[in-house]
Amino acid sequence: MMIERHILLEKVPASMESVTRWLELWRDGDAEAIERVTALVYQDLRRLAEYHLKRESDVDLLQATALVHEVYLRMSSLRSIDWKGRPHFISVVTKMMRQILVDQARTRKAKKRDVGAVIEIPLIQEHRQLDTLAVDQGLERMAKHYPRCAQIVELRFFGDLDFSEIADVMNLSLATVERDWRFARAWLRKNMAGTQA
Amino acid sequence: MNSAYSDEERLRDLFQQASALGPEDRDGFTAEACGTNHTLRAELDELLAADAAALDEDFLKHSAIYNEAMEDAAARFAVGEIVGNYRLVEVIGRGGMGSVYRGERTDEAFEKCVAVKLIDAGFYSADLVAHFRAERQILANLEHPNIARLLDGGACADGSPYLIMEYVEGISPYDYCNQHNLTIAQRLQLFRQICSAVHYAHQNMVIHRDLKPGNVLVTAEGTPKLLDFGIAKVLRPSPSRKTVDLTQPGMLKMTARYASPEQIRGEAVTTASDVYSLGVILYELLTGHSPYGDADRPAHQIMAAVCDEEPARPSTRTPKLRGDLDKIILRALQKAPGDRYASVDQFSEDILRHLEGLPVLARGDAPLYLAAKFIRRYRVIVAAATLVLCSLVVGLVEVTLARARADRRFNEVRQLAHSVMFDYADAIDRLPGSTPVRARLVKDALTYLDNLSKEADNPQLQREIVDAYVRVSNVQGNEYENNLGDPAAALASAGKAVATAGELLRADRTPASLASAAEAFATYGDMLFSTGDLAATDRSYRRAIGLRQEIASESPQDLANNLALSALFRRMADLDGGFGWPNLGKTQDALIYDQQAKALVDRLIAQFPANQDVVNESYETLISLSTSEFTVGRRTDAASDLAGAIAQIEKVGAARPGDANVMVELAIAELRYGQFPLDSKSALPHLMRAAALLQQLLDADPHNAVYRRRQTVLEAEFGAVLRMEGQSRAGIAHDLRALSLAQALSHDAPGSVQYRSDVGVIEREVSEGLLAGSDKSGALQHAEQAEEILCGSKPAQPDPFTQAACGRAKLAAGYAYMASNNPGSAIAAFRNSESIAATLSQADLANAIFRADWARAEAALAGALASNGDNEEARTMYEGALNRWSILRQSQSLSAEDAHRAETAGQALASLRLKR
Repeated sequence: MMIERHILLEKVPASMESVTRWLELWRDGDAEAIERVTALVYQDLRRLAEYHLKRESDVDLLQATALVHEVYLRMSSLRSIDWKGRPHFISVVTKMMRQILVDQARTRKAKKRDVGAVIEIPLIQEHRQLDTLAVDQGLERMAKHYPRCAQIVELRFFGDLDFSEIADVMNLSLATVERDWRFARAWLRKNMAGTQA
Repeated sequence: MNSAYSDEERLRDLFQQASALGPEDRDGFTAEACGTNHTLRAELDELLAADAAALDEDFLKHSAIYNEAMEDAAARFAVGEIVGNYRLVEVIGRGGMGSVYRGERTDEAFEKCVAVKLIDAGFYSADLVAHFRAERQILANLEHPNIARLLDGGACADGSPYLIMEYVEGISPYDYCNQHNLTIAQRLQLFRQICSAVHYAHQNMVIHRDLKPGNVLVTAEGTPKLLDFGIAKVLRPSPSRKTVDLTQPGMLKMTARYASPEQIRGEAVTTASDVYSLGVILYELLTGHSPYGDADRPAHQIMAAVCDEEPARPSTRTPKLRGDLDKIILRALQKAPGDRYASVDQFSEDILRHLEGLPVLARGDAPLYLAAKFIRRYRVIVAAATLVLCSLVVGLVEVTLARARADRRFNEVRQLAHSVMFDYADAIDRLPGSTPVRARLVKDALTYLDNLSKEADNPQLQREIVDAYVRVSNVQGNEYENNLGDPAAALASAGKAVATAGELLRADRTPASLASAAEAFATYGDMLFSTGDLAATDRSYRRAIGLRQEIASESPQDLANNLALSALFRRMADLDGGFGWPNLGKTQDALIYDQQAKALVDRLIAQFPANQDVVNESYETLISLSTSEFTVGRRTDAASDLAGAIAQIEKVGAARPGDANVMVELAIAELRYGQFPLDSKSALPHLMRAAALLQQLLDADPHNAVYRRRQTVLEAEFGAVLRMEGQSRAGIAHDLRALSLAQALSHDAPGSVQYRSDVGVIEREVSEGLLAGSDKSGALQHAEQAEEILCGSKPAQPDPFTQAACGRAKLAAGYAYMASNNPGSAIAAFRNSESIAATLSQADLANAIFRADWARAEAALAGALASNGDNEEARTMYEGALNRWSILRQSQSLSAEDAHRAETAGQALASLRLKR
């Protein structure tokens, strides 16, 4: 399991210098440069998304691909960003994933409402899944008071990084990340809509 | 006081210190650290409690990607719910668009496990539902020991379909082989069983398209069972683009490792694609590896490899496979479909040949190899055989030359016959007055065809014969078209078409052959319908739809096929429900089929707004849809759709004056409009226009059965409308005319159930007309006639329409008894009528006509009971009737007549209550 979790970081650092260079080239107007970056990132993101889905259903390529495809498409809106190397890059990709996942959760919620009006049988859920939208909103509030904690949660929850990866990206010690994570989790549990018993 | 910022920082630091302590030390720590700052203390305590709760609940344990994936999968149904007669017990699988649950019967004491398949909410669309329904029957017919059976299907409360499948307990073939340490020969035998299931499905026109080990389970007894047969085809929109498009769901849903190159490229999927996927499965079963290396490669790399990379020889993984098995597997894995085995059967047989030590086909025609194998087996006989072979070759050459000469002559004759039967027949079809000519043509054509079919041995010729029988059958007795009114002969010809089509499909499954076969089944269905065998009609239409959809899945832009498909949907709608003809009483299904046809045609109209065939199909669809809408009580929609149809037909008619088909369409639409009156006044002008058109058609072609039947219905409708208008004398004249027309028609075509039922229905209308004119004995006599035809000599299971007609006949008889002061017989007749209507209405709740029948019968029974002094039951009956009328009123389906009846019944009930 840990092997797959590392995918996102394993490849990017190896070629990080060139990634940064390509991104700068792209920002300066070289259209081909972005294709080289995205090709690299695309594969890794895709593996990550596929990994999660593979564990549950047989192989559902649709969602994995759709997700990564979205990231790919949104890359084009990033041209004006001033790239500051790897941590910046990772955090930007994470923010994109966050936006996509939140959009997806919103769409699903809307669809559920539509169908719910027709079905008369009440839905019995075995266990409630954590609401992506609620986490998103909770994080926004947290960022006002505890920006570092909020970023850790973002990288972990939306970026799917583990603690050592986060420590690496944020240039913190592993212990700090773990301590902050625990606080952030408790804070979210206490302050997030819909989690009060 | 500290600033807000440091308060927050302090809270975090304290939390981190406290949470690092054991629970027993925390209270002391927090009390000391917070001192008198109670706010801080409270916040800290809450955070620590939240921390404990978060640990308990696995709060934030999974990432958002994980959560979203799970949410989607669990989107709709959950364990504990009841679908059909089954309770969902647990989730056993999740696919791209739906979930599979283990289910148990709710209505039986013993435990019977099934698998229940549902579409997830996010993927639920009218299109998908339509596919699901259409394929359900095909799947239900797949009965094979190695295929998990489809047991049942239906619709959930929201109309989305579900499937109930045989529940298979087993493990993947790969695991099974390894756990049982199967030898290569044993693995091959297991694999051949899988092949036999796939081959069987191919014979039944189902392509799996998604064969992979995940879709096969091997039971404890070692029997492999294929799951999801054909479902793949149902659930997956067919690829319409030629290049790989990552945003297209159909492409991504499949598992790249087992997909054939043509599937990945989005090209036509055929049985050869299944051959390919089976090849991958065999490769993996025998070597333990994917043909394209590491199975964990990213999907796009696998896709590229499937299209371009030559797979490694299986023997490079498992040396024992060198030789035949290398060749067999690689033959199945050829990139070009045409280079693979021609069928799954051939693939499987080649494995058998290998197992038996015979030469395998996969070796190709390499003469040395064949000879080596041959000589090894039959060392002794070879010498003699060589001699025989030489003489055979000489003989063959001679035969071939003679055959070529004969073929040329034969083809000339055939072409001439073909143009006579098709081109001329089509031209004649559009001319009024063509019936006698067509009869001659049919007689000649049949003689010719019967001779020809004995010699037919190639697909092209077989197709022509199928088409010709279909054409002949239509001319003989298709009630949808101009015909000679001979349903029995028409059925026989359609039967020949279907038989020939069956042979054709065994040899050839090109789109042209599929289309011919589909037409044969559609026509056979039409003929079965007019002879009253509705269950067989259903089967035949569904078969036709399956064939058409097979074509559509490969060429979604095939206009002729799409039009034929729409026409088939309309026929299914006619069969499932409707107004004025025998049907299966599935009103809601009928409406859905009509909507499906409408959706398809709307798409076609957008593409081809000026295409005449598309326009024709468009108004036909509107007419059919309006009928379904009327039946479910949507009268306003029905009227507006019909008006739309009439406008379209008029436009066509202006461009093609004198075209009999257009005239008859217009007459039908006008007649329908007269039959679906919002009020009787608006009906009359439409009926009159229809009458004028029909008269014109009949003047030119007096024997045409379609026109004659329309005229019969028209006259009866005139009678009913005039009676509503209070002109009972004028009405009865039309009723009697309708009766004599119907009797003549039934007399000329004694095999037609439809015509006979027409007579019964009109007898009943005559009875009602006579009663309105106070001719009690005449009314009773005709009502009894109606009863005899509609309720007597009935088939084992009369269809709902006939039952309803019988119920109405009994109602009319009851009225006649009442008028003749015979309340005893009246009550008995009304009771019968009420019970028939109640049964029908309860079985088809969407049907507004049945509900109205029920209310009328209840009110009539109530009236008779009240006059007999049985006030208690009379009240109950009135209440039932009023309840039903109020339901009809709420859905705007209450006719003016029934509104009047309801008012009278309300007053009667009120006075009954006063008496109590």
